[in-house]
Amino acid sequence: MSKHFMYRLAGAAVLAASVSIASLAVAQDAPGVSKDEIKLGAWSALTGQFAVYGVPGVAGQTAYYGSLNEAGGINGRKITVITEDHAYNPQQAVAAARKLVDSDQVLAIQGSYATGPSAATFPYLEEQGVPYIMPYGGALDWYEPVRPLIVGAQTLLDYQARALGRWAGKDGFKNVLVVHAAVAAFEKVASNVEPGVRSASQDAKVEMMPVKLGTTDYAPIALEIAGKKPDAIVFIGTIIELSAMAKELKQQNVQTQLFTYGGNVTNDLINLGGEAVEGLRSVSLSYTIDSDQPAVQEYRDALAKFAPNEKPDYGSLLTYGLAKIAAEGIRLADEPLTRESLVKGFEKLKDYDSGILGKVTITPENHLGTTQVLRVEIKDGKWSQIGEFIDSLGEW
Amino acid sequence: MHDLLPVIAAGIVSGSAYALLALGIVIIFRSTDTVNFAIGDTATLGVFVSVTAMQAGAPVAVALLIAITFAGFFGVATERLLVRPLGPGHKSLFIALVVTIGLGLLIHAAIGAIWGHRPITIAPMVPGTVSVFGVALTWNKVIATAIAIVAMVFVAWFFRFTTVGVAMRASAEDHFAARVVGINPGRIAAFAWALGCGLAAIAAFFLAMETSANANLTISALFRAFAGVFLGGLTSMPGAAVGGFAIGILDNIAGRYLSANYRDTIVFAVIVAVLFIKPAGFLGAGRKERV
Repeated sequence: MSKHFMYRLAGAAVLAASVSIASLAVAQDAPGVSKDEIKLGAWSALTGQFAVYGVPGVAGQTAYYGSLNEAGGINGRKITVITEDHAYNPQQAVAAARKLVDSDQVLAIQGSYATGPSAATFPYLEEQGVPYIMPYGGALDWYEPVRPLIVGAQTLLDYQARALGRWAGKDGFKNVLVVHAAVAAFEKVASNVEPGVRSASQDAKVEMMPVKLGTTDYAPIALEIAGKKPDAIVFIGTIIELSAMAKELKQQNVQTQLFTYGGNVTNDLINLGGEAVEGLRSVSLSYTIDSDQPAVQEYRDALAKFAPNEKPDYGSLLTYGLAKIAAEGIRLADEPLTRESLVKGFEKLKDYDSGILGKVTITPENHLGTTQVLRVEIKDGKWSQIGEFIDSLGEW
Repeated sequence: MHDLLPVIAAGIVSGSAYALLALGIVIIFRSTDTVNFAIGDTATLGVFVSVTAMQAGAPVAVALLIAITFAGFFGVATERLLVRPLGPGHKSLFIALVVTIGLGLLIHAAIGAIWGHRPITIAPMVPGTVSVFGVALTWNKVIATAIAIVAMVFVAWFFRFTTVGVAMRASAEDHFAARVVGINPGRIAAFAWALGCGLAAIAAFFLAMETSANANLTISALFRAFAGVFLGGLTSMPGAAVGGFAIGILDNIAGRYLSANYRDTIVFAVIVAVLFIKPAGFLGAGRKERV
């Protein structure tokens, strides 16, 4: 062996060692990542009137990551999620983002609720290069055009509304009334009902009826609806208002088919609406909570163990499913695990079946993993599944 | 407008809750010069306590009494511990106003922490509906309206014919003169806060039966109750009651014939117009400053 070759071998060894040390340093230095832990951040409405959505949402994640960590975590790393309360306030959401990124040094923000407050944090997250993964909420402009740091798998409300419209049209309803909360976000979602109806029934009449958000007295509205005689109503608003409207319609003996979007698929609606919501149809993002799907059974067991104060419901099932998809994205990310490799990991998801939500495919060109929904109906005081998952944008 | 009578009937029923809340606000204001912004949350807290009692097996009527009693005592405690120590004078009135706003927020948070944020359903006192002028009203709403009217009649009788009631009116007119003739203003104030918060609890209890017990139960109703107070006159008890009912009717007419979206805007536009013509409200008296 020549002296020259020995020098080259030694040089290569030093270089390789340097690269390894550098890689190790990167792995250790990536925010929120150590050899035995991955730290993620989240925010939600844990107080205030939107806590009814936020608290179960956190419970679903707690249940999933609790069972995941018990089974050893991801590649030997346990998942820690630090959750902050924003009380549905955008300013508080921004403060939470700063705390999680600056002080807690999380790898990414995951499973955070809700659309408006979360959107307020995006300029900061983009500036810091922090991925925002599998949110509980979302809007079209989060995904079109693609934002490099946002990856999600919750079928958008706009798409849900289109699916409801198509369903009403396909079922032959010719006079469809869209009752919606008169707030821009709800109005935008409601505007998707008509194209959905038209996709199945060109001659159907679709009328919009804005109602002030927070309305508690639906008596005059029910009387007005009675005068319009719609054969179907698509309601885009909150659970409490939907149940109030349904009760008033039942009292005034208005015979019509009620539809609502997936955000209202909860057991609370059945508890509040009682007989008045019997027969109501909607689109769920997940299987029903009493489904015999193995993944849903795992959810029920995990919830009972890690979030015993929460009864099974659709909000926690959805976030459990989103957390499961988040974990799969992390698992697929290349080492060293960094914010960049994390996003690329999600882009490897192809027809991933969580057993809870619709199948998820994420590519560099499309960061919204699914547009699928499951049609459901309230029968005998329970949500019942109708068929299998459908594409909300398809011609099913 | 073929269904005007049913719309008015529905408005009277809705207005009964606003009228009770408005009456509670005015009773407290007249006795202690304090606008109690925590009255709705105090009443909601009373409802949640009664929900716990019902979950433990208490009948609905007993639960209603529990809500009234609890809210009444809570009102007394608020006056005694938070408002009275502020002392008299204009500055104290402003501080008291802020204190009650803060108290309301605290109660709201406490309800969420203790009972959670999910709405809790309460079975109606009497199930079923009855047709009034062609509009189907739940028996629950009809009973609530009847109880509200009985409560108002009781309040009118109480202030007119009982010694305590007359003393309260005297104290409201002139604290100093009332004290000179031997009326204990502290006791009067406590009684007024108990009565005001108790009336609010009746309203909140029936609102919860119609919708659900939730931390935001009285927000919308209190907003309208204040509108009723200003419409009827901040110093007039009959004005507050009439104002509450008027808001209910106006709100229903606006919601039915004009816009379900702008009903609040329309109602408040009417109120502004009324106050422009009669600033003290249609039954209120112009307030004289004591010197």
